[in-house]
Amino acid sequence: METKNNRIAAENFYVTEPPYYLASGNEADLFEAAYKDRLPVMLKGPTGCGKTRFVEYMAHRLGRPLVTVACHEDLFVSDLIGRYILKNDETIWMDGPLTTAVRMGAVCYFDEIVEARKDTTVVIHPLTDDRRSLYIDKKGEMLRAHPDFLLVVSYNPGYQSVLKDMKQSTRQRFVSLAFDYPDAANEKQIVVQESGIDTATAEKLVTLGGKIRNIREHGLTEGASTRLLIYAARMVKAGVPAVDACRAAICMPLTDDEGLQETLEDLVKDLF
Amino acid sequence: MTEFTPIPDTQDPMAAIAMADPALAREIDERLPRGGDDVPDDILRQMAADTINTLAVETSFGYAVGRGYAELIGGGKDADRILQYGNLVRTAGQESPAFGRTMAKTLVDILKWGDDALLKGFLAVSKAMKQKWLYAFTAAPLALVGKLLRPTGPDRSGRPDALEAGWAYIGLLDSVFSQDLTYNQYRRFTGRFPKMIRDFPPSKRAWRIKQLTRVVRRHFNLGSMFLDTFEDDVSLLDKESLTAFVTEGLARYDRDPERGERFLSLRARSAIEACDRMRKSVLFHEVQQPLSRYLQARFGQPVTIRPLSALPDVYADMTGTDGGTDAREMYACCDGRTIYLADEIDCHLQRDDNYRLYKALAWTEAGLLECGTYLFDLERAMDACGMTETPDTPAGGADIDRFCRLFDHRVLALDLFTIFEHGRVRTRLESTYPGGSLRFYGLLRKAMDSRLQSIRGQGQATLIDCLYAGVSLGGDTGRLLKGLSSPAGDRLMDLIRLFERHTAGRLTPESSAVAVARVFEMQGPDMFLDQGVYSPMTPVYGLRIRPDLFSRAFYGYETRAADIKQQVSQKGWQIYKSDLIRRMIEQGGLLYASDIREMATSRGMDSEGAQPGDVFDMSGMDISGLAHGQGETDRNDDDFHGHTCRYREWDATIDDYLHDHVLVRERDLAGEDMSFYRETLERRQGLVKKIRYAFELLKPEGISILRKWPEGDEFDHSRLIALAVDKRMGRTPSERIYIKRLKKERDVAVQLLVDFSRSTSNTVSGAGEKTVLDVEKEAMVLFCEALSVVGDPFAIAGFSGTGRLGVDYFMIKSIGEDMDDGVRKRIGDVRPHRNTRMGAAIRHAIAGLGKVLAKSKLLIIISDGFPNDIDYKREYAMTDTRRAILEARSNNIAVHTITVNIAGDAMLDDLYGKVRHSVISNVRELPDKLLRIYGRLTA
Repeated sequence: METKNNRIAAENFYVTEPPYYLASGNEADLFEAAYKDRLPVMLKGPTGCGKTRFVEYMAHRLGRPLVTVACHEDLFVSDLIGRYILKNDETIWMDGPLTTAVRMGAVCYFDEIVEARKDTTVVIHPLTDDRRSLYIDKKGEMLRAHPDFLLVVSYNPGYQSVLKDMKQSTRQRFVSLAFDYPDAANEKQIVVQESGIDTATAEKLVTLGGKIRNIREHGLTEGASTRLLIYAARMVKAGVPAVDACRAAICMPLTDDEGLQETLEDLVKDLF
Repeated sequence: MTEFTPIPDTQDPMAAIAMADPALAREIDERLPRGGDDVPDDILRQMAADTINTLAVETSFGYAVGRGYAELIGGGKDADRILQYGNLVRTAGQESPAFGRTMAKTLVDILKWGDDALLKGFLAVSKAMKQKWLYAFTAAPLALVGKLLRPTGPDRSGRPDALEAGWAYIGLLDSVFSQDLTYNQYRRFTGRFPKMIRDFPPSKRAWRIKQLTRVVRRHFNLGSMFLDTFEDDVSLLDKESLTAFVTEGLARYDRDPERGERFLSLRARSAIEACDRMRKSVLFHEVQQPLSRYLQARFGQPVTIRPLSALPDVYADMTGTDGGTDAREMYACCDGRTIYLADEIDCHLQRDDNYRLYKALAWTEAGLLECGTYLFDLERAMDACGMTETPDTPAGGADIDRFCRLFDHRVLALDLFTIFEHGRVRTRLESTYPGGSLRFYGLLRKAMDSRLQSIRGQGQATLIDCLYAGVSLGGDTGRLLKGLSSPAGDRLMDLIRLFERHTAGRLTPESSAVAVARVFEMQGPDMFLDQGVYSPMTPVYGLRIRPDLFSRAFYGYETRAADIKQQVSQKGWQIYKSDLIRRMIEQGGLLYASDIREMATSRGMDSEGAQPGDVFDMSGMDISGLAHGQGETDRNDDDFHGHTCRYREWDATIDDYLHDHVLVRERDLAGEDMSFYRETLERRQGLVKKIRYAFELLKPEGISILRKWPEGDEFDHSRLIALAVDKRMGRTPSERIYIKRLKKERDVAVQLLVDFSRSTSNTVSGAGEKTVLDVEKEAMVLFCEALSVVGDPFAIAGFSGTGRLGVDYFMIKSIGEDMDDGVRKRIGDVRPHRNTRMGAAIRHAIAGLGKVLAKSKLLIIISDGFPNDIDYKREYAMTDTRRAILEARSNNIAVHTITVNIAGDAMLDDLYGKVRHSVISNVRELPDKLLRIYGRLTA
């Protein structure tokens, strides 16, 4: 749905249904405090621990639209800011997601920011300090951010490449919230809630997740995420035998190494 | 010896020997029954005459004869055999004293069997050897006949194996000496075959020798080559597989001798594959890594697993002490910290089944650790049993053992404790790991069932074995009852009910003690005795609870905990010994004053006169043992004149740096030989090829041309045409119409820092004589090859040393240095040195890397454990190392650590950071994995 000035209406970006999120600490309060002062927020944590869900939850709680950008190597500044397009023999300007968020005062969420090229990420720098502005070079426009605009990025320290580490000049622009996998009781509750599975099976899945995380440094890089546990639970709920569901949803996605696969399967077979 | 002088009738034969050699006479006297009083006089006289005569010829010959007589007479051999021995020895002595001595020793072992055919066979073969070969060289091959015929095992249960091996070896000797071989071939036989055959495991000797004989018969050289393969994979074949392997090899030899030789000497790929296909046994080192990883996952902390051969013999063999398991029947045990597993398992016909058995053994022993069996507390057990009597047992032993000593039948008490405790653990595991319990207890039950069936074939199963099968393994009681008499069946059911009431599913091992106490109180031990004698249980695969091993592993913790407990109780407070031990285990042997205060206070309500809210006051207690020892002095090597640097060190006790505290000395490696580097490249040529290819891909391509780019140096003409077409058609054209030229650079500098401490001289499990350092050196070689391909500047250094003023830093290659022969030689020259003062070595490496101009700097540390040096241990060493790594990061140097040869440890996370280290428990994978890790770190 576009408006007459070729901008996507803000209604499209609101999170309409309240997302399920179980707080593991005071992260929601910290986020709210940061939002109050419009301080950019960085969420650090392993894959699948609930960072994205938390942003959705906060956007809904604060009543702000949410614009999400999944970062990747080929993401360019123009992909973020916008570009001219042809429409009915006219050349018209189309805002990119960042510009859209800046104008409408949305929460703009850069998922896995280290995946983006460093010359792209510098575009956010003026938005993260007291300037709170975005320069659109192709239009020659200096866009002041909407008073409610908030920038949020996520970052997974599990990336081991020294070449992909986040630059200090970028890191030091954010309030940082650390995320980790929830404790066993909370994780069980999340798995039950998200999959509708019985508590006993959820408990076994959470135990399995915990045990797999114990051998992270044996080549797994990261342990089984809560997201994978939920996938397995959903498959069990759909009638797939638990061992098969765990193999498909947890063991296989985690590693291709045969030795590690064997260990993971042993753990699954212990519990189911 | 040409003349035989008898002993005069008037002279006492033992006195005559004593006159010739008093020491030998004493030895013989001790070996003879009742000092020879019951031995017929003519036998004693012949013994004395032969001994004295042979002593006159040569002392060692005389000793061999005297001892031989004593052994035969002491072993109760009849007079004919003893006289026959004398005749044979005298005849042999006439050939030469050396031959006589060999025969005097060997004939004892042969005559003890009382088998005429065996003696005849041996004499025939010794005659053939004499005719073909020099006496001097016959000693070793002949003497081996006697050695092979000696039954092994404390209960001499290896008798059939020994006899068969003896026969097989005589057959081999016959085959060799019936051929006309050259001087060198005979020399090769006598120099090599007996030694190798003696090293065969006793149970495998007979059939291995038979197969070797088959090959030798075809051609001696072929047999000689085949013999060497027993140091390799052929040793993994069982009887049937080895027979099939030899049959196939000989068939190939008959068709084409050269191919047959290649096959039987394992030089042909088809032979290696056949060997792998045929073998059924699984070796410990094959399962070590997967099992370590599994246990790490299950526990969240490392559990060491080691082969049973790593246990001293006194612990590996329990026969006679606790009446149960001898080394050959024991497949696994645990000391509360380490799980010991059989070096090789070949019980099943399928390799997968043997592999599964390894898993089952590790799984069940891990259950004991998980359920706290080894944290059994005597005081808690006595409280639970309602016992008040103070045990009159020596302090310092394991509490399980002290508990069992409270009963008249200690062995029975330990067996009952083992049964109930295994049962408790089983019930706990069944609820936590239902799938695993089904798999692994099912396997153990199956083994126990077949054992009970074979026992039933010989008579009735004992109540204790049925109780073990029913309680420990959860066997089907209906089937167990069928093997027992009706009263015994009733007792079994009573005991199972007692277990269910007191122990099943309980959290602590003391509940097993309650069941043991109830059995002794209510039913008494008589039901387990047969005519007053107790026959110990025979657990499946020898799985027992081993308090003796626990004492060995935790002796220091036990005594320290007992001392603290005593001091606390002198102050009128109480503390459980097991709580102290548990805390020490959790904290790697450390115990803080705050721990004692917390534990005593939490048990305060039990203490005499203590009020709620009272806090245990430690004043007056001697807690000096809790502090770290600082007694050792620094080693300052004044002879060192090379480059030195001083560095600060973080002192955790004062929370501050000690400035200029450590002296790092840069040492040179001579490096005169390049063969190690060259041989590694040759041996690993397959991997080197793969690495070169993989690192070629990492290599920057120089200039990369990016098409369809939104901005750039020039237009991409094909995209311009597409833009024009889009515009004509009224579509939004793509903005990506440029070509961009990007100069791709890898601006990474890397330093490899390798631990050369003494522990790296440990051999690698399953890799022969190869040490951890050998593998580290191989990794260095491959690292050099890979980095030379990709072009990243790199340095390699090692570190070790003793004390804060003696940290040695060995520079193998500096960043600016070319990869030349000097570097290659230095890698070959690396040796294990002393300790691991890691913080100082890291700081020195940071100083080196700090001077390098590179966008990304990486320090990779390879170590085989935790930092450790004089006055540099545990928390102190960990804190300083952690601090040094933080210093590296603040200098923009990424640090990644690879720990090899340990199972992994949660403390590594604390030490190096959660995602900044890797564990390679099987060090043999280091060369391959180091490069994969490097690739991942810089991709």
